[in-house]
Amino acid sequence: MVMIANYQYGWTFFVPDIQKTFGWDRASIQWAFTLFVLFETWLVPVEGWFVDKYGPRLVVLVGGILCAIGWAINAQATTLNGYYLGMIIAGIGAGGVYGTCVGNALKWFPDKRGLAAGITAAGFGAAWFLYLGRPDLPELIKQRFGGLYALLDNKYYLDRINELVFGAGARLIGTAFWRGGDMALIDGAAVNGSARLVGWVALLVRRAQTGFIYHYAFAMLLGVGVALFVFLTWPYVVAAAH
Amino acid sequence: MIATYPWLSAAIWIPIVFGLFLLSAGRDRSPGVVRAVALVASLIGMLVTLPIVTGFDVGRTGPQFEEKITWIDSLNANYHLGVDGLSIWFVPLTAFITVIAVLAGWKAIGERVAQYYASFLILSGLLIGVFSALDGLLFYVFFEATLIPMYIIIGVWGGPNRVYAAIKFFLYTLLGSLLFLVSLVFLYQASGGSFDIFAWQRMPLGLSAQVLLFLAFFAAFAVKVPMWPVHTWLPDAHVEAPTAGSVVLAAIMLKLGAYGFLRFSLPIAPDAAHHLAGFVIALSLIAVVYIGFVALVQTDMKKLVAYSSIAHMGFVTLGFFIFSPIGMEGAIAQMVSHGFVSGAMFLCIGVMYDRTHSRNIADYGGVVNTMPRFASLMMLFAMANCGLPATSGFVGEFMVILGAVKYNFWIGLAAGSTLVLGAAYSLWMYKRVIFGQVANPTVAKLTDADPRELLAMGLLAAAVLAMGLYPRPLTDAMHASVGQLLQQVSHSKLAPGL
Repeated sequence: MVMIANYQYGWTFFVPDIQKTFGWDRASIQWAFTLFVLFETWLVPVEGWFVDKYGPRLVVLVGGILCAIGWAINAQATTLNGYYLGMIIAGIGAGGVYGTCVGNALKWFPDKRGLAAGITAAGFGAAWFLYLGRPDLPELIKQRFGGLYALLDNKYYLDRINELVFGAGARLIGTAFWRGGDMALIDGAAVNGSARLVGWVALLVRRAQTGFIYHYAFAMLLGVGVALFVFLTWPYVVAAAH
Repeated sequence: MIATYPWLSAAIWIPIVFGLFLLSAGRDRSPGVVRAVALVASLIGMLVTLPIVTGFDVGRTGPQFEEKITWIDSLNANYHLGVDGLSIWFVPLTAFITVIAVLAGWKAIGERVAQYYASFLILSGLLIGVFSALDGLLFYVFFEATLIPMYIIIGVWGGPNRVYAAIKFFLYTLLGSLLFLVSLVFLYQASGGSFDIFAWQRMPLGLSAQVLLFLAFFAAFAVKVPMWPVHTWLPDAHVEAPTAGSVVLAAIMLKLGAYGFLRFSLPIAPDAAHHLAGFVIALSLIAVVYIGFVALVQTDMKKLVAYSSIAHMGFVTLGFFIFSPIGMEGAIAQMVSHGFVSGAMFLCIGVMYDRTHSRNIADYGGVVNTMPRFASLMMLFAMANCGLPATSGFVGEFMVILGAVKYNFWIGLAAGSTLVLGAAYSLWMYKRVIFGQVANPTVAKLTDADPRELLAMGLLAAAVLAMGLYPRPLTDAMHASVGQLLQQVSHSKLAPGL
């Protein structure tokens, strides 16, 4: 029911845009909604017969598919008749879903049929009362229960919490990991740092390179001497260690 | 015919020979001919991999389509090729991605076209060589040789900072590979002078030797995957590489490291693998979570997808080291899927870059208004990138998460965070780039994807959906080999007294 409720509760949202796009008068556009309501309500007895014959699952499934088809037609419609057709098909589907759901509620709770039907329909009844019967009441309720109104109006502030805590928090963590971890620590210190270290060492070593061959020859002789010393003394070092 | 014909050699050498032909005969004044030859070569290269797939016996565990001839007699090194369930899919995947890469560079590359396509064709043959080599030395030669064409591709046809990126890519990966070479020499000596990978897998080894070998392998393969913290070469390489270079890099080259774990680390050093599994799992989870957050804050689309690649490859290494059939099969499925999805994402970015010469997310907005067909396909790839069911991205991630939860609930939970983070960075980027009002005059002037681009993206979309909707042939082919590998890993190789 919730999935297909957008027809009733979302239609007026689109009306101004439809009017702006096509330039039709609002009464003509709203005929689409009238047709939707007519086909949604008047065909419920027929749909109830289908429920008895084929079971609720199939009727709800077909109803859902018809609603989807209506949705698709409305999305592509460029004429009034197109919208009327879409809303008629959707109305038949919505009637199937609503009628079956309410009927099922009665069948599931045979001892509390009134309560079941009442709860199912209360939402719609309350909506009629508050929007049409006593349109002044919502404002009074809003003033009297300001905190509750704000809580519900802001969807329990869950979206705000998501934005501030999870959204901004995740971006903050990501930035810290990226700039602190990847850029500063891994790339800055480890990768480029080791490259810089090699550069510095090379700079120091280069200073020892005078260009005089006798310096290099001396270094080589020194190396040979060290190698010979290690080679000759190594057996004694090993023996001493044992 | 199918079993005896050297299909693997054909898959390796046909693109290489065509590449060498283009290098020697290709001229810049006839780029159309060069492109056509490259496309034909890549298509032939792909066609010769088909018999390998259709003729593969899924019930067998050992190598199939085996070819063995003496290569260097004095070293007892052989030209030994073959595929098993662990490698079978990477051969056709490489050939397929090469076709996509050829199509991707069709218009974008106008200079040194022959050398450009030659690099890709040679790279394709070398990559297939890595996946089919069963001789340690041959594997190493192919493994290292792949660096050269990719280094040239990034360094010559890359972006403004291409030299830095190419050198970083080369040095990073070469450094790890040198330790790998040392380990190969050790194994050659320890096995009495053999480069046969399967002989190495059967050979008993002490724990300390296994640990050292494992770490040497790890140095080479972890860089290639890349795993955290040796991953920073990848975003730079991707950002600077031309579109086709990024496609091949992400789709195939990253798989070399993961494949190395399967072929070397796990079966040759199983006791060390068990000892160090916690360490690898920890690095994999860091890659999944840490890199997921880093991807979220990227402003460059290519960098974002590069970071998402690292996170996805973290899933692969996680799947390997939980030592369960579902985890390992999921990891290999993830490797194949990532080949399609990451390749497709880079291709999409390339399509936009070719028109605007910008990869900055802030330079886009409302692209769907001017490029609706392109936007639809990119939507599919973005969804696959965050692991949506019915796309290939879901298969591997779901299997690995399932395996991880069985291994340890908390590890599974941490791995599962990628679904949230993946959706956040992929879809947020998609929303900022594609949806909304047309952001600027450049976007307003964009033209939708042309038939060539649609063909390349359509092929990838078909692969993403086919694997997502019916992954069974993929997992069936790897089942026997994964079972055998897990059996190898579960048996200690410690020699008595060691």
